[in-house]
Amino acid sequence: MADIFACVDGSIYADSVIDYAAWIGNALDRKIQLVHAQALHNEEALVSDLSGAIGIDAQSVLLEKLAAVDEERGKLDQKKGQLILDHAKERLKEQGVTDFKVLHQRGALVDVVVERDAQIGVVVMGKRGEHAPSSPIHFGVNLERVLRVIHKPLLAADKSFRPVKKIALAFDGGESGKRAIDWLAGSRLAANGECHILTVETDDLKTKEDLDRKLAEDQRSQFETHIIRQASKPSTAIAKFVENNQIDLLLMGAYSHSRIRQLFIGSTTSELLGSCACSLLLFR
Amino acid sequence: MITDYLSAGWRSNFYRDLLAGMVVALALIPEAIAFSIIAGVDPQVGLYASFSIAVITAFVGGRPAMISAATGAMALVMVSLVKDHGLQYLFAATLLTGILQCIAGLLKLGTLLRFVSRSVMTGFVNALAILIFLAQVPEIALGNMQMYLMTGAGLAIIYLFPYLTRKIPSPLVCITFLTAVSIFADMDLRRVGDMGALPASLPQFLWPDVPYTLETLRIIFPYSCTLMAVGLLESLMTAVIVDDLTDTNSNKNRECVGQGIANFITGFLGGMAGCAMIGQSVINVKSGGRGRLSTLSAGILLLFLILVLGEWVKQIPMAALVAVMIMVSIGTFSWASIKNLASHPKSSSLVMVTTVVVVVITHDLAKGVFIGVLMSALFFARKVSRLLTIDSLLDESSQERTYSVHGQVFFASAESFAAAFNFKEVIERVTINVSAAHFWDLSAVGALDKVVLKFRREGTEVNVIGLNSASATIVDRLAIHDKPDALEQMLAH
Repeated sequence: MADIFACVDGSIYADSVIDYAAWIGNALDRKIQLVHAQALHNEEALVSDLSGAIGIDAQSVLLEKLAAVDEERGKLDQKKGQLILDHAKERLKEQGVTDFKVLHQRGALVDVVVERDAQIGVVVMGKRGEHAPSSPIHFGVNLERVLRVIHKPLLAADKSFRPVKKIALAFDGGESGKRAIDWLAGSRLAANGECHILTVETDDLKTKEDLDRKLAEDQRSQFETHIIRQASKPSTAIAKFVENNQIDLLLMGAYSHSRIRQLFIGSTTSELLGSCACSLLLFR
Repeated sequence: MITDYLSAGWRSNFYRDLLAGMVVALALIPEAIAFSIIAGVDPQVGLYASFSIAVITAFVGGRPAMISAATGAMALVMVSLVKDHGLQYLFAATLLTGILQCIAGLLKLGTLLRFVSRSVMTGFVNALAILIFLAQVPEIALGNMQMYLMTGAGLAIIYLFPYLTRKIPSPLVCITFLTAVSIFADMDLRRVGDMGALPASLPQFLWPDVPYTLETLRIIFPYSCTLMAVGLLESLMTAVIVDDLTDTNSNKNRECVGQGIANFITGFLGGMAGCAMIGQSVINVKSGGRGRLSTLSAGILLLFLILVLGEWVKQIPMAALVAVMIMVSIGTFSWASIKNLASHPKSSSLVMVTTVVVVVITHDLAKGVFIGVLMSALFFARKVSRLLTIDSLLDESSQERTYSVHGQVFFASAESFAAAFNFKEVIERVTINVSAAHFWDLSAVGALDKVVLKFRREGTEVNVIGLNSASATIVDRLAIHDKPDALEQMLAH
C-alpha cells in the first residue's frame, strides 16, 4: 500500500517533484499518488465594510454576500488546482508512469498528509513553494510543517531533477540516522549507485572504526565511510562535502534534537534545507 | 497544550482584525453607555464591563470574532436587583453568574442548545430587538421637539452615510456630528454626562461590599441563575451565527467557560455581567474581523477611547445614543420572520410569537425561551404521535383477529393506541403484532397492558408477538452501534 505521495502546487518546484517521485517510485517499485491541497480561505476576510451600520435583516444579507464571494473564490481555486494536477498527470505520463492516483483536497497540506500517514511510503515535496521567488533563503512553510509531523521519509526536491548516482547519508549517531541507514541499505538504491556515509567528528565517533561498529554486518560493504573533522558547523561541513563530491541525494535524520536546543544552537536540518545544493531525503 | 489552547484563533488577518476591532469599539461605546442606563447604573459600570469581558473572552472564549460585552439582554434582568439592593449586590451577582457559567461549561451544558429550536431562537432575537427599542422610549418621552429632530437626523446619518463612503463607521459620524452641532448651537439637551459617572482611570480591583451571608446568596441567586441562562443562551446563539458567517466551527462548552471566567473577573473590576452581542458580532464580521485579535482590540480601544476622550464623551447628547440603539434594534430584529409567518407551519409561527410575547410581557428572556422550548417539544410530540397506524385482519375460520401496529407508541399516542382496538367484538383469539412498532416509554407499555387486560376480561385470548423488537427503544441508550443497518430498520417504520 505504501504509496509515493507527490505534493504538487503551482510553483517551479512542481516539475522536479514529479520527476523525483517517478524516479523513487520506479526504484522502490511503489505507486504514485499525486496530491494537491487547495487552501482553506476561512482565516482571511475577503469582504470588509467599515460602515458599522446594521441594516434590515443584517445577518442573512451578510451571509449571502459572504457565501457569494467565497463561492467565486472557491471556483477559481478549484480550476487552478485542476490545471496543476492536469499538468502533473501529463508529466508523469511522459515519464512512463501510467498507474497513479490523484488526490485533490481542500485544507492544509499538513492535515491532508497526516490523515493518510498509514498509506504513505515516501512524501515528495518541493523545498519551496509558490512564494519561492520572494524568499530565496528560507525554505517552504509547508515543508517544515509536514516534516515535523509525519513519521515517514520525506524527499525535499531541489529546483530541477538530477539523475541520482551518488548518494550520501549524514549520520549523527542518533535514532533517526540509524533508521535512514537501515532504509537505504534495505532498498535498491544502495545497489545501483555509490553510497557514502559521513559523520562530523563527535566524542564517540572519532574514527572510521567507530563508525563501522555502528553499522550492521551486512551494511558495511555497501557504504563508503567518511569522518569529517570538527568544523565550524556540521551543516557547513556537510554542505561542502556534498558540493565537493557532487552528491545527488543527501539522506539524514531530521530534527533529532530537542526544540530548546534548536532554538538556541540551531537546527542542522533547517540549515541544510536552506543551503544544500542537492535534494534531501529526511527521516524522523 | 495550554499554549495550543490559547494560541488557536489568532490567525493571519492582522490588519483587518485590528480595523474591525476599531469599528466595533466605536459602535460599542454608545451601546455600553445605553445598556448601563437601562440597568440603572453609572455608564462607567457598563464601560468597564465591556472592556474586561471583551479582553478576557478574546483569550479564553470559544468563538473567535465574536464580541462579548455589556448587553441589553443582561441589563434588563438587573434592573430590579439594582433598584432594590444597590450596585454592590450587582457585582456579587456578576461573580456568582460567572461561577455558574463555568460550572455549566464544565458540565457540557452547551450541548443542550440543540433543544432550542430555530423558531425559539428567532423569537428570542425579535424579543431582544423589541426590548432594546422599548428601553429607548422613556428617553424619547423625556425629550422635546429638538430631541426628536436630532434623533431623526442621527438615524438619517447612520443609514445614508454609507452611500457616501464605507470607510468610516457611520455611527461614529452620527455621534460626532450631533455632538458638534449640539455644542455649537448650545442646545439644551440631555447628555451622557447627566446620566452618571464615566471612567476616569483603569478599572480597580475591589471585593463587592456585601455581607457574606446566606441572606445575600438568597438575594442574588435567582438573579444569577437568570443571568447565567440569558448570557449563555445569547452567547451560544451568537456563536452559531458567527459560525455560519465565518464558515468555521467553535467549541460551545469552551465558550461557556470563557463567559464564566470573564463575568467572574468583571465582578471584581466593578462591571456588570455581560454576554455576546449579536449586532456587534455581525458588524465585526462585516468589517472583516475573523480572529481573536478583533475582540481584543475592540476591548482595549474602547477603554483607551473612553479614558482619552472622556470629556468629549460626556458631551454626547442622548439623542445620538437613542439613534444608535434604534439602529441596533432594527438590525437585530429578523424582518424575514414576519414575511415567513404566512408561509411557515402554524406551530412554528406560534412558538415564535409566543416566545416574543412572553419575553416582552415579563421582560425576562429566559422565561420566554423556556416557554418556547416547552411548546416546541409539545408540538413535536404531537406530530410524532400521529405516526401510528393499526390495521387488523380477521381470520373467519379460526375466529382470530390479528392487529398489526405500525409506528411510534409513547405518551402522546398511548390513548389513540388503546382506542384502535375493538373490544366489543366477540371473538376467541386476538393476536397483536407489535414487531413493526416502537415503544418509547412506560406509557406505551402501560397502554399495551391495559389493552391486553381489557381483552382478557371479555374472555378473549390475547397473544402479543414481536414485543422484544418493539421495546428495544424503551431503554435510554439505544445500542445500535454494532448493527450498521439497525438504524435504517428502526426508522423504516
